[in-house]
Amino acid sequence: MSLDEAPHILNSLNFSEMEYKVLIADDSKMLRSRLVEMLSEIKGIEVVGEAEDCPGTIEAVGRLKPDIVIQDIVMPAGNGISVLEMIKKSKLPPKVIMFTNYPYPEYRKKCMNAGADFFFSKSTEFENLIEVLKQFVQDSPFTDKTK
Amino acid sequence: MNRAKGSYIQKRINFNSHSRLTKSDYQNPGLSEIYSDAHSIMSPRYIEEELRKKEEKFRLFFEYAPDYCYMISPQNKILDVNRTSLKALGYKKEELIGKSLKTIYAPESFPKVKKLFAKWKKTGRLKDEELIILTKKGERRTVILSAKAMRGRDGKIISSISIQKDITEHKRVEDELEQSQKRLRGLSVHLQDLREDERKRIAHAIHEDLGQLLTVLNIDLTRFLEKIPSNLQPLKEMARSIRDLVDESIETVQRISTELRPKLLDDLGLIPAIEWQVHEFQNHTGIKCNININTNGISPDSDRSIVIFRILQEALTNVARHARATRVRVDLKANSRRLTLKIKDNGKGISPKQITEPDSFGIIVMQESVLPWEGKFDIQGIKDKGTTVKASLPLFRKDSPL
Repeated sequence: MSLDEAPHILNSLNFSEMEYKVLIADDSKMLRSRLVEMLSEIKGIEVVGEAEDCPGTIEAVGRLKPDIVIQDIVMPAGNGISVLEMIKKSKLPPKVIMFTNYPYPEYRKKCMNAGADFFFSKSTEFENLIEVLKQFVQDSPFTDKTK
Repeated sequence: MNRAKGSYIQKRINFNSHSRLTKSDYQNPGLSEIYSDAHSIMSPRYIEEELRKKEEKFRLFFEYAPDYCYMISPQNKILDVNRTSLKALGYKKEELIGKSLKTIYAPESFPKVKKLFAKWKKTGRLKDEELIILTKKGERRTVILSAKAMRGRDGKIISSISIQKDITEHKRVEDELEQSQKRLRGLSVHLQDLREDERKRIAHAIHEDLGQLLTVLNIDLTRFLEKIPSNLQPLKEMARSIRDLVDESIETVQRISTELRPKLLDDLGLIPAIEWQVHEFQNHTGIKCNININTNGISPDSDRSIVIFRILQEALTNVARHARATRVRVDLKANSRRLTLKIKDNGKGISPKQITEPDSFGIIVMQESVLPWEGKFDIQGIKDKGTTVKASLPLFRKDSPL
Protein backbone atom coordinates (compact mmCIF):
# COMPACT_ATOMS: atom_id res chain seq x y z
CA MET A 1 0.00 0.00 0.00
CA SER A 2 1.42 3.38 -1.01
CA LEU A 3 1.20 6.52 1.10
CA ASP A 4 -1.15 8.06 -1.47
CA GLU A 5 -3.66 5.31 -0.85
CA ALA A 6 -3.76 5.79 2.95
CA PRO A 7 -6.32 8.62 3.16
CA HIS A 8 -8.71 6.59 1.08
CA ILE A 9 -8.47 3.60 3.36
CA LEU A 10 -8.87 5.72 6.48
CA ASN A 11 -11.99 7.29 5.04
CA SER A 12 -13.46 3.86 4.43
CA LEU A 13 -13.34 3.04 8.18
CA ASN A 14 -16.38 4.10 10.13
CA PHE A 15 -15.04 4.77 13.65
CA SER A 16 -18.47 5.52 15.00
CA GLU A 17 -19.39 1.89 14.43
CA MET A 18 -16.35 0.50 16.26
CA GLU A 19 -17.38 -1.78 19.13
CA TYR A 20 -15.73 -2.94 22.32
CA LYS A 21 -15.04 -6.67 22.10
CA VAL A 22 -16.20 -8.42 25.27
CA LEU A 23 -15.38 -11.90 26.49
CA ILE A 24 -17.65 -13.47 29.14
CA ALA A 25 -15.99 -16.07 31.34
CA ASP A 26 -18.32 -17.85 33.74
CA ASP A 27 -19.12 -21.51 34.32
CA SER A 28 -22.88 -20.89 34.45
CA LYS A 29 -24.31 -21.19 30.97
CA MET A 30 -27.54 -19.57 32.13
CA LEU A 31 -25.72 -16.55 33.49
CA ARG A 32 -23.62 -16.21 30.33
CA SER A 33 -26.73 -16.24 28.19
CA ARG A 34 -28.38 -13.54 30.33
CA LEU A 35 -25.28 -11.39 30.07
CA VAL A 36 -25.13 -11.87 26.31
CA GLU A 37 -28.78 -10.74 26.10
CA MET A 38 -28.21 -7.72 28.30
CA LEU A 39 -24.98 -6.68 26.63
CA SER A 40 -26.48 -7.00 23.18
CA GLU A 41 -28.75 -4.11 24.14
CA ILE A 42 -25.76 -1.82 24.69
CA LYS A 43 -24.68 -0.06 21.56
CA GLY A 44 -20.92 -0.21 21.09
CA ILE A 45 -20.51 -3.53 22.89
CA GLU A 46 -20.02 -6.82 21.08
CA VAL A 47 -19.74 -10.17 22.88
CA VAL A 48 -17.06 -11.92 20.87
CA GLY A 49 -16.76 -15.06 22.94
CA GLU A 50 -17.62 -17.07 26.00
CA ALA A 51 -15.48 -19.27 28.23
CA GLU A 52 -16.64 -21.69 30.91
CA ASP A 53 -13.40 -22.52 32.71
CA CYS A 54 -9.97 -21.14 33.55
CA PRO A 55 -7.88 -22.65 30.69
CA GLY A 56 -10.67 -21.75 28.24
CA THR A 57 -10.58 -18.14 29.42
CA ILE A 58 -6.83 -17.81 28.95
CA GLU A 59 -7.05 -19.42 25.52
CA ALA A 60 -9.96 -17.18 24.44
CA VAL A 61 -8.17 -14.02 25.61
CA GLY A 62 -5.15 -14.96 23.50
CA ARG A 63 -7.22 -15.85 20.46
CA LEU A 64 -9.96 -13.21 20.52
CA LYS A 65 -7.96 -10.27 21.94
CA PRO A 66 -11.01 -8.78 23.71
CA ASP A 67 -11.05 -5.23 24.99
CA ILE A 68 -13.00 -6.22 28.09
CA VAL A 69 -13.19 -9.47 30.00
CA ILE A 70 -16.06 -10.12 32.40
CA GLN A 71 -14.98 -13.01 34.56
CA ASP A 72 -15.97 -14.97 37.64
CA ILE A 73 -13.59 -15.88 40.49
CA VAL A 74 -14.78 -19.45 40.85
CA MET A 75 -14.41 -21.41 37.65
CA PRO A 76 -13.51 -25.04 36.96
CA ALA A 77 -9.94 -26.20 36.39
CA GLY A 78 -8.21 -23.36 38.18
CA ASN A 79 -8.65 -20.17 40.09
CA GLY A 80 -10.18 -17.04 38.63
CA ILE A 81 -7.72 -14.81 40.47
CA SER A 82 -4.77 -16.62 38.86
CA VAL A 83 -6.46 -16.20 35.47
CA LEU A 84 -6.80 -12.47 36.16
CA GLU A 85 -3.10 -12.26 37.01
CA MET A 86 -2.14 -14.04 33.80
CA ILE A 87 -4.37 -11.87 31.65
CA LYS A 88 -2.95 -8.73 33.19
CA LYS A 89 0.57 -9.87 32.46
CA SER A 90 -0.02 -9.71 28.71
CA LYS A 91 1.42 -6.84 26.63
CA LEU A 92 -1.83 -5.01 25.97
CA PRO A 93 -4.07 -6.34 28.67
CA PRO A 94 -7.82 -5.99 28.37
CA LYS A 95 -9.93 -4.32 31.02
CA VAL A 96 -11.06 -6.99 33.46
CA ILE A 97 -14.31 -6.79 35.36
CA MET A 98 -14.61 -9.35 38.13
CA PHE A 99 -18.22 -10.44 38.39
CA THR A 100 -18.69 -12.73 41.35
CA ASN A 101 -20.92 -14.18 43.97
CA TYR A 102 -18.10 -13.80 46.51
CA PRO A 103 -18.39 -10.09 47.19
CA TYR A 104 -16.23 -10.14 50.31
CA PRO A 105 -13.78 -7.28 50.91
CA GLU A 106 -10.88 -9.78 51.10
CA TYR A 107 -11.63 -10.95 47.54
CA ARG A 108 -12.13 -7.41 46.33
CA LYS A 109 -8.75 -6.38 47.75
CA LYS A 110 -6.99 -9.42 46.30
CA CYS A 111 -8.55 -8.90 42.85
CA MET A 112 -7.83 -5.20 42.75
CA ASN A 113 -4.22 -5.89 43.77
CA ALA A 114 -4.02 -8.46 41.01
CA GLY A 115 -4.99 -5.81 38.47
CA ALA A 116 -8.77 -6.03 38.19
CA ASP A 117 -10.35 -2.83 36.88
CA PHE A 118 -13.71 -3.41 38.52
CA PHE A 119 -15.19 -5.79 41.07
CA PHE A 120 -18.96 -6.32 41.18
CA SER A 121 -21.28 -8.64 43.05
CA LYS A 122 -23.37 -10.68 40.65
CA SER A 123 -26.35 -10.45 42.93
CA THR A 124 -26.44 -6.85 43.98
CA GLU A 125 -24.23 -4.94 41.55
CA PHE A 126 -24.98 -6.28 38.10
CA GLU A 127 -26.63 -2.99 37.22
CA ASN A 128 -23.25 -1.38 37.94
CA LEU A 129 -21.70 -3.74 35.41
CA ILE A 130 -24.07 -2.48 32.74
CA GLU A 131 -23.36 1.11 33.74
CA VAL A 132 -19.59 0.61 33.54
CA LEU A 133 -19.86 -0.94 30.08
CA LYS A 134 -22.03 1.94 28.92
CA GLN A 135 -19.45 4.31 30.36
CA PHE A 136 -16.68 2.59 28.37
CA VAL A 137 -18.60 3.20 25.20
CA GLN A 138 -19.40 6.74 26.23
CA ASP A 139 -15.77 7.55 27.00
CA SER A 140 -14.45 5.94 23.85
CA PRO A 141 -12.56 8.37 21.58
CA PHE A 142 -14.42 6.81 18.66
CA THR A 143 -17.89 7.47 20.01
CA ASP A 144 -19.77 10.20 18.30
CA LYS A 145 -20.68 12.30 21.31
CA THR A 146 -22.88 14.65 19.31
CA LYS A 147 -25.52 11.92 18.97
CA MET B 1 8.46 -69.20 125.54
CA ASN B 2 6.65 -66.61 123.54
CA ARG B 3 8.40 -63.94 121.50
CA ALA B 4 7.02 -61.01 123.47
CA LYS B 5 8.24 -62.42 126.69
CA GLY B 6 11.70 -63.14 125.22
CA SER B 7 12.19 -59.58 124.06
CA TYR B 8 11.12 -58.25 127.42
CA ILE B 9 13.74 -60.46 129.12
CA GLN B 10 16.43 -59.26 126.76
CA LYS B 11 15.63 -55.66 127.53
CA ARG B 12 15.73 -56.34 131.20
CA ILE B 13 18.99 -58.26 130.99
CA ASN B 14 20.60 -55.53 128.82
CA PHE B 15 19.39 -52.93 131.22
CA ASN B 16 20.99 -54.78 134.12
CA SER B 17 24.10 -56.00 132.34
CA HIS B 18 26.40 -53.71 134.28
CA SER B 19 24.84 -54.44 137.66
CA ARG B 20 24.80 -57.61 139.61
CA LEU B 21 21.61 -59.37 140.64
CA THR B 22 21.00 -59.02 144.32
CA LYS B 23 19.83 -61.69 146.68
CA SER B 24 16.40 -60.15 146.79
CA ASP B 25 16.28 -60.37 143.02
CA TYR B 26 16.71 -64.15 143.20
CA GLN B 27 14.09 -64.34 145.91
CA ASN B 28 11.62 -62.57 143.59
CA PRO B 29 9.72 -65.50 142.00
CA GLY B 30 8.85 -63.64 138.73
CA LEU B 31 12.38 -62.47 138.14
CA SER B 32 13.92 -65.83 138.87
CA GLU B 33 11.69 -67.35 136.13
CA ILE B 34 12.84 -64.67 133.68
CA TYR B 35 16.43 -65.25 134.58
CA SER B 36 16.01 -68.92 133.89
CA ASP B 37 14.47 -68.15 130.41
CA ALA B 38 17.36 -65.78 129.67
CA HIS B 39 19.79 -68.58 130.19
CA SER B 40 17.89 -70.73 127.70
CA ILE B 41 17.82 -68.08 124.86
CA MET B 42 21.54 -67.51 125.14
CA SER B 43 22.22 -71.18 124.53
CA PRO B 44 23.84 -72.26 121.19
CA ARG B 45 20.95 -74.62 120.51
CA TYR B 46 18.47 -71.79 120.78
CA ILE B 47 20.51 -69.53 118.50
CA GLU B 48 20.86 -72.32 115.98
CA GLU B 49 17.16 -72.97 116.05
CA GLU B 50 16.39 -69.28 115.58
CA LEU B 51 18.79 -69.05 112.66
CA ARG B 52 17.22 -72.13 111.07
CA LYS B 53 13.78 -70.56 111.41
CA LYS B 54 15.00 -67.32 109.86
CA GLU B 55 16.68 -69.17 107.02
CA GLU B 56 13.50 -71.19 106.47
CA LYS B 57 11.40 -68.03 106.44
CA PHE B 58 13.75 -66.35 103.95
CA ARG B 59 13.79 -69.53 101.81
CA LEU B 60 9.97 -69.62 101.69
CA PHE B 61 9.76 -65.96 100.78
CA PHE B 62 12.45 -66.36 98.15
CA GLU B 63 11.07 -69.53 96.56
CA TYR B 64 7.39 -68.67 96.54
CA ALA B 65 7.56 -64.95 95.82
CA PRO B 66 5.30 -64.06 92.86
CA ASP B 67 8.22 -62.21 91.24
CA TYR B 68 11.45 -63.61 89.81
CA CYS B 69 14.16 -63.66 92.51
CA TYR B 70 17.88 -64.25 92.07
CA MET B 71 21.05 -64.08 94.05
CA ILE B 72 23.94 -62.87 91.94
CA SER B 73 27.62 -62.88 92.86
CA PRO B 74 29.88 -59.84 92.37
CA GLN B 75 31.57 -61.97 89.70
CA ASN B 76 28.39 -61.89 87.65
CA LYS B 77 27.36 -65.48 88.36
CA ILE B 78 23.90 -66.73 89.28
CA LEU B 79 24.04 -68.09 92.83
CA ASP B 80 20.41 -68.87 93.33
CA VAL B 81 17.11 -68.52 91.51
CA ASN B 82 13.55 -69.03 92.71
CA ARG B 83 10.81 -71.37 91.43
CA THR B 84 8.71 -68.59 89.87
CA SER B 85 11.68 -67.52 87.77
CA LEU B 86 12.58 -71.10 86.78
CA LYS B 87 8.98 -71.72 85.73
CA ALA B 88 8.90 -68.56 83.61
CA LEU B 89 12.34 -69.10 82.08
CA GLY B 90 11.85 -72.82 81.48
CA TYR B 91 15.22 -73.81 83.02
CA LYS B 92 16.04 -76.29 85.76
CA LYS B 93 17.86 -74.79 88.72
CA GLU B 94 21.09 -76.67 87.96
CA GLU B 95 21.07 -75.23 84.41
CA LEU B 96 21.38 -71.70 85.80
CA ILE B 97 23.42 -71.94 88.99
CA GLY B 98 26.97 -70.79 88.38
CA LYS B 99 26.09 -69.45 84.91
CA SER B 100 26.69 -65.91 83.76
CA LEU B 101 23.92 -63.37 84.19
CA LYS B 102 23.80 -63.07 80.40
CA THR B 103 22.12 -66.49 80.25
CA ILE B 104 18.78 -64.99 81.27
CA TYR B 105 18.91 -61.71 79.38
CA ALA B 106 18.05 -60.96 75.75
CA PRO B 107 21.09 -59.78 73.71
CA GLU B 108 19.56 -56.34 73.16
CA SER B 109 19.63 -55.86 76.94
CA PHE B 110 23.31 -56.80 77.35
CA PRO B 111 24.71 -53.26 77.16
CA LYS B 112 22.20 -52.05 79.75
CA VAL B 113 22.80 -55.10 81.98
CA LYS B 114 26.55 -54.40 81.88
CA LYS B 115 26.00 -50.78 82.82
CA LEU B 116 23.57 -51.65 85.61
CA PHE B 117 25.85 -54.35 87.00
CA ALA B 118 28.64 -51.80 87.32
CA LYS B 119 26.26 -49.37 88.98
CA TRP B 120 25.08 -52.05 91.44
CA LYS B 121 28.67 -52.91 92.36
CA LYS B 122 29.33 -49.24 93.00
CA THR B 123 26.16 -48.21 94.82
CA GLY B 124 24.85 -51.53 96.11
CA ARG B 125 21.38 -51.01 94.73
CA LEU B 126 19.25 -50.75 91.61
CA LYS B 127 15.67 -49.65 91.33
CA ASP B 128 12.98 -50.07 88.66
CA GLU B 129 15.17 -50.75 85.65
CA GLU B 130 13.36 -52.08 82.59
CA LEU B 131 15.06 -55.03 80.87
CA ILE B 132 14.25 -57.87 78.49
CA ILE B 133 14.86 -61.42 79.65
CA LEU B 134 15.02 -64.45 77.38
CA THR B 135 13.41 -67.81 78.23
CA LYS B 136 14.97 -71.13 77.27
CA LYS B 137 12.52 -71.33 74.36
CA GLY B 138 13.61 -67.91 73.13
CA GLU B 139 10.54 -65.96 74.28
CA ARG B 140 11.21 -62.40 75.35
CA ARG B 141 9.66 -61.02 78.51
CA THR B 142 9.86 -57.52 79.88
CA VAL B 143 10.82 -57.15 83.53
CA ILE B 144 11.40 -54.35 86.00
CA LEU B 145 14.52 -55.07 88.03
CA SER B 146 15.37 -53.93 91.54
CA ALA B 147 18.44 -55.23 93.37
CA LYS B 148 20.10 -54.76 96.73
CA ALA B 149 23.57 -55.85 97.81
CA MET B 150 24.17 -58.22 100.71
CA ARG B 151 27.41 -57.29 102.45
CA GLY B 152 29.75 -59.13 104.75
CA ARG B 153 31.09 -57.82 108.07
CA ASP B 154 33.89 -56.10 106.13
CA GLY B 155 31.34 -54.21 104.04
CA LYS B 156 32.23 -56.04 100.86
CA ILE B 157 29.42 -57.25 98.62
CA ILE B 158 28.77 -60.96 98.98
CA SER B 159 25.83 -61.20 96.61
CA SER B 160 22.75 -59.42 95.43
CA ILE B 161 19.13 -60.09 96.06
CA SER B 162 17.57 -59.22 92.72
CA ILE B 163 13.86 -59.10 92.10
CA GLN B 164 12.35 -58.90 88.64
CA LYS B 165 8.72 -57.98 88.20
CA ASP B 166 7.34 -59.39 84.97
CA ILE B 167 5.45 -56.62 83.15
CA THR B 168 5.13 -58.41 79.80
CA GLU B 169 1.34 -58.60 80.00
CA HIS B 170 1.12 -55.06 81.28
CA LYS B 171 3.34 -53.92 78.38
CA ARG B 172 1.26 -55.89 75.89
CA VAL B 173 -1.95 -54.26 77.14
CA GLU B 174 -0.19 -50.90 77.16
CA ASP B 175 1.04 -51.40 73.59
CA GLU B 176 -2.40 -52.53 72.48
CA LEU B 177 -3.92 -49.48 74.12
CA GLU B 178 -1.38 -47.25 72.42
CA GLN B 179 -2.06 -48.90 69.06
CA SER B 180 -5.76 -48.57 69.63
CA GLN B 181 -5.37 -44.88 70.50
CA LYS B 182 -3.27 -44.41 67.39
CA ARG B 183 -5.91 -46.10 65.26
CA LEU B 184 -8.66 -44.00 66.84
CA ARG B 185 -6.64 -40.87 66.23
CA GLY B 186 -6.08 -41.91 62.65
CA LEU B 187 -9.78 -42.53 62.28
CA SER B 188 -10.51 -39.16 63.83
CA VAL B 189 -8.19 -37.45 61.33
CA HIS B 190 -9.77 -39.38 58.48
CA LEU B 191 -13.27 -38.44 59.63
CA GLN B 192 -12.18 -34.83 59.97
CA ASP B 193 -10.84 -34.91 56.41
CA LEU B 194 -14.05 -36.51 55.17
CA ARG B 195 -16.08 -33.91 57.01
CA GLU B 196 -14.07 -31.08 55.48
CA ASP B 197 -14.37 -32.59 51.99
CA GLU B 198 -18.08 -33.06 52.46
CA ARG B 199 -18.51 -29.53 53.74
CA LYS B 200 -16.53 -28.20 50.80
CA ARG B 201 -18.64 -30.16 48.33
CA ILE B 202 -21.96 -29.10 49.89
CA ALA B 203 -20.81 -25.48 50.22
CA HIS B 204 -19.81 -25.44 46.56
CA ALA B 205 -23.06 -27.05 45.47
CA ILE B 206 -25.17 -24.60 47.45
CA HIS B 207 -23.16 -21.57 46.46
CA GLU B 208 -22.56 -22.34 42.84
CA ASP B 209 -25.66 -24.25 41.76
CA LEU B 210 -28.36 -22.68 43.90
CA GLY B 211 -26.58 -19.35 44.10
CA GLN B 212 -26.20 -19.03 40.34
CA LEU B 213 -29.88 -19.85 39.78
CA LEU B 214 -30.93 -17.19 42.24
CA THR B 215 -28.53 -14.72 40.65
CA VAL B 216 -30.02 -15.31 37.22
CA LEU B 217 -33.50 -15.06 38.72
CA ASN B 218 -32.48 -11.73 40.25
CA ILE B 219 -31.24 -10.43 36.90
CA ASP B 220 -34.40 -11.57 35.17
CA LEU B 221 -36.57 -9.91 37.78
CA THR B 222 -34.66 -6.67 37.47
CA ARG B 223 -35.03 -6.69 33.70
CA PHE B 224 -38.69 -7.59 34.12
CA LEU B 225 -39.10 -4.63 36.48
CA GLU B 226 -37.61 -2.30 33.88
CA LYS B 227 -40.11 -3.50 31.29
CA ILE B 228 -43.21 -2.99 33.44
CA PRO B 229 -44.96 0.19 32.26
CA SER B 230 -45.01 2.92 34.87
CA ASN B 231 -48.82 2.96 34.93
CA LEU B 232 -48.81 -0.59 36.38
CA GLN B 233 -47.44 0.47 39.76
CA PRO B 234 -48.98 -2.38 41.86
CA LEU B 235 -47.39 -4.96 39.55
CA LYS B 236 -44.07 -3.16 39.84
CA GLU B 237 -44.31 -3.21 43.63
CA MET B 238 -45.05 -6.92 43.59
CA ALA B 239 -42.04 -7.60 41.35
CA ARG B 240 -39.86 -5.52 43.66
CA SER B 241 -40.89 -7.47 46.74
CA ILE B 242 -40.19 -10.74 44.88
CA ARG B 243 -36.74 -9.41 43.99
CA ASP B 244 -36.14 -8.49 47.64
CA LEU B 245 -36.95 -12.05 48.60
CA VAL B 246 -34.52 -13.32 45.99
CA ASP B 247 -31.84 -10.94 47.34
CA GLU B 248 -32.42 -12.29 50.81
CA SER B 249 -32.22 -15.87 49.52
CA ILE B 250 -28.91 -15.12 47.85
CA GLU B 251 -27.52 -13.73 51.09
CA THR B 252 -28.74 -16.82 52.96
CA VAL B 253 -27.12 -19.12 50.43
CA GLN B 254 -23.84 -17.21 50.71
CA ARG B 255 -23.97 -17.32 54.50
CA ILE B 256 -24.74 -21.04 54.71
CA SER B 257 -22.07 -22.03 52.22
CA THR B 258 -19.46 -19.81 53.88
CA GLU B 259 -20.28 -21.20 57.31
CA LEU B 260 -19.84 -24.71 55.94
CA ARG B 261 -16.49 -23.95 54.37
CA PRO B 262 -15.19 -20.43 53.81
CA LYS B 263 -14.03 -20.44 50.22
CA LEU B 264 -11.60 -17.65 50.92
CA LEU B 265 -9.59 -20.03 53.09
CA ASP B 266 -8.90 -22.11 49.98
CA ASP B 267 -8.55 -19.19 47.59
CA LEU B 268 -6.79 -16.55 49.67
CA GLY B 269 -5.23 -18.50 52.52
CA LEU B 270 -5.33 -18.47 56.31
CA ILE B 271 -4.67 -14.81 57.06
CA PRO B 272 -7.52 -13.29 55.01
CA ALA B 273 -9.77 -16.09 56.26
CA ILE B 274 -8.96 -15.26 59.89
CA GLU B 275 -9.47 -11.54 59.26
CA TRP B 276 -12.82 -12.26 57.63
CA GLN B 277 -13.95 -14.64 60.38
CA VAL B 278 -13.04 -12.25 63.19
CA HIS B 279 -14.72 -9.38 61.35
CA GLU B 280 -17.88 -11.48 60.90
CA PHE B 281 -17.80 -12.45 64.58
CA GLN B 282 -17.53 -8.82 65.62
CA ASN B 283 -20.42 -7.84 63.36
CA HIS B 284 -22.70 -10.59 64.61
CA THR B 285 -21.94 -10.47 68.33
CA GLY B 286 -20.99 -6.84 68.88
CA ILE B 287 -17.92 -8.06 70.80
CA LYS B 288 -15.00 -5.79 69.99
CA CYS B 289 -12.19 -7.72 68.35
CA ASN B 290 -8.56 -6.94 67.85
CA ILE B 291 -6.38 -8.90 65.43
CA ASN B 292 -2.63 -9.02 65.54
CA ILE B 293 -0.99 -10.98 62.74
CA ASN B 294 2.74 -11.45 62.52
CA THR B 295 3.58 -14.41 60.30
CA ASN B 296 6.79 -13.10 58.72
CA GLY B 297 5.39 -13.80 55.26
CA ILE B 298 4.96 -17.50 56.03
CA SER B 299 1.86 -19.08 54.52
CA PRO B 300 0.95 -22.41 56.11
CA ASP B 301 -0.31 -25.19 53.87
CA SER B 302 -4.04 -25.83 53.49
CA ASP B 303 -4.13 -28.77 55.95
CA ARG B 304 -2.58 -26.76 58.77
CA SER B 305 -4.64 -23.72 57.81
CA ILE B 306 -7.91 -25.58 58.22
CA VAL B 307 -6.85 -26.94 61.64
CA ILE B 308 -6.01 -23.44 62.89
CA PHE B 309 -9.08 -21.90 61.28
CA ARG B 310 -11.46 -24.45 62.85
CA ILE B 311 -9.86 -23.87 66.28
CA LEU B 312 -10.45 -20.14 65.83
CA GLN B 313 -14.10 -20.76 64.90
CA GLU B 314 -14.63 -23.09 67.87
CA ALA B 315 -12.96 -20.69 70.30
CA LEU B 316 -15.01 -17.75 69.04
CA THR B 317 -18.20 -19.81 69.26
CA ASN B 318 -17.36 -20.56 72.89
CA VAL B 319 -16.73 -16.87 73.56
CA ALA B 320 -20.13 -15.97 72.08
CA ARG B 321 -21.96 -18.73 73.97
CA HIS B 322 -20.32 -18.83 77.38
CA ALA B 323 -17.74 -16.12 78.06
CA ARG B 324 -19.85 -12.98 78.54
CA ALA B 325 -16.87 -11.10 77.12
CA THR B 326 -16.81 -7.60 75.72
CA ARG B 327 -13.41 -7.83 74.03
CA VAL B 328 -11.46 -10.49 72.16
CA ARG B 329 -7.89 -10.40 70.98
CA VAL B 330 -6.70 -12.77 68.25
CA ASP B 331 -2.97 -13.28 67.67
CA LEU B 332 -1.53 -15.30 64.81
CA LYS B 333 2.23 -15.66 64.83
CA ALA B 334 4.66 -17.73 62.83
CA ASN B 335 8.37 -18.24 62.83
CA SER B 336 10.35 -20.62 60.70
CA ARG B 337 9.27 -23.55 62.87
CA ARG B 338 5.85 -22.94 64.41
CA LEU B 339 2.51 -21.38 63.72
CA THR B 340 0.71 -20.16 66.84
CA LEU B 341 -2.83 -18.93 67.31
CA LYS B 342 -3.98 -17.28 70.53
CA ILE B 343 -7.51 -16.15 71.34
CA LYS B 344 -7.92 -14.20 74.55
CA ASP B 345 -11.16 -12.77 75.89
CA ASN B 346 -12.05 -10.68 78.92
CA GLY B 347 -15.04 -12.76 79.99
CA LYS B 348 -15.87 -14.71 83.10
CA GLY B 349 -13.08 -17.25 82.58
CA ILE B 350 -13.48 -20.97 82.00
CA SER B 351 -13.06 -23.10 85.15
CA PRO B 352 -10.71 -26.11 85.41
CA LYS B 353 -13.82 -28.30 85.88
CA GLN B 354 -15.37 -27.03 82.65
CA ILE B 355 -12.13 -27.70 80.78
CA THR B 356 -11.99 -31.34 81.87
CA GLU B 357 -15.66 -32.20 81.70
CA PRO B 358 -16.10 -35.28 79.50
CA ASP B 359 -18.85 -33.61 77.48
CA SER B 360 -16.76 -30.52 76.66
CA PHE B 361 -16.67 -31.73 73.08
CA GLY B 362 -15.62 -28.40 71.63
CA ILE B 363 -12.45 -28.45 73.75
CA ILE B 364 -11.85 -32.15 73.05
CA VAL B 365 -12.14 -31.53 69.30
CA MET B 366 -9.67 -28.63 69.50
CA GLN B 367 -7.23 -30.73 71.58
CA GLU B 368 -7.47 -33.72 69.28
CA SER B 369 -7.19 -31.71 66.08
CA VAL B 370 -3.59 -30.63 66.81
CA LEU B 371 -2.29 -34.04 67.93
CA PRO B 372 -1.78 -35.61 64.48
CA TRP B 373 0.43 -32.61 63.68
CA GLU B 374 2.43 -32.96 66.89
CA GLY B 375 0.91 -29.66 67.83
CA LYS B 376 0.11 -28.21 71.22
CA PHE B 377 -3.17 -26.99 72.63
CA ASP B 378 -3.83 -25.16 75.85
CA ILE B 379 -6.87 -23.51 77.40
CA GLN B 380 -6.79 -21.57 80.63
CA GLY B 381 -9.28 -19.44 82.45
CA ILE B 382 -8.96 -16.92 85.22
CA LYS B 383 -12.17 -16.15 87.08
CA ASP B 384 -13.65 -12.83 85.93
CA LYS B 385 -10.50 -12.08 83.94
CA GLY B 386 -11.10 -14.19 80.86
CA THR B 387 -10.08 -17.27 78.92
CA THR B 388 -7.04 -17.87 76.74
CA VAL B 389 -6.96 -20.52 74.05
CA LYS B 390 -3.60 -21.27 72.51
CA ALA B 391 -2.83 -23.68 69.69
CA SER B 392 0.45 -24.16 67.90
CA LEU B 393 1.55 -26.43 65.09
CA PRO B 394 5.02 -27.19 63.79
CA LEU B 395 5.26 -25.92 60.22
CA PHE B 396 7.38 -28.80 59.05
CA ARG B 397 7.78 -32.43 59.98
CA LYS B 398 9.51 -35.38 58.41
CA ASP B 399 6.43 -37.46 57.83
CA SER B 400 2.82 -36.59 57.18
CA PRO B 401 0.44 -37.24 60.08
CA LEU B 402 -0.61 -40.87 60.32
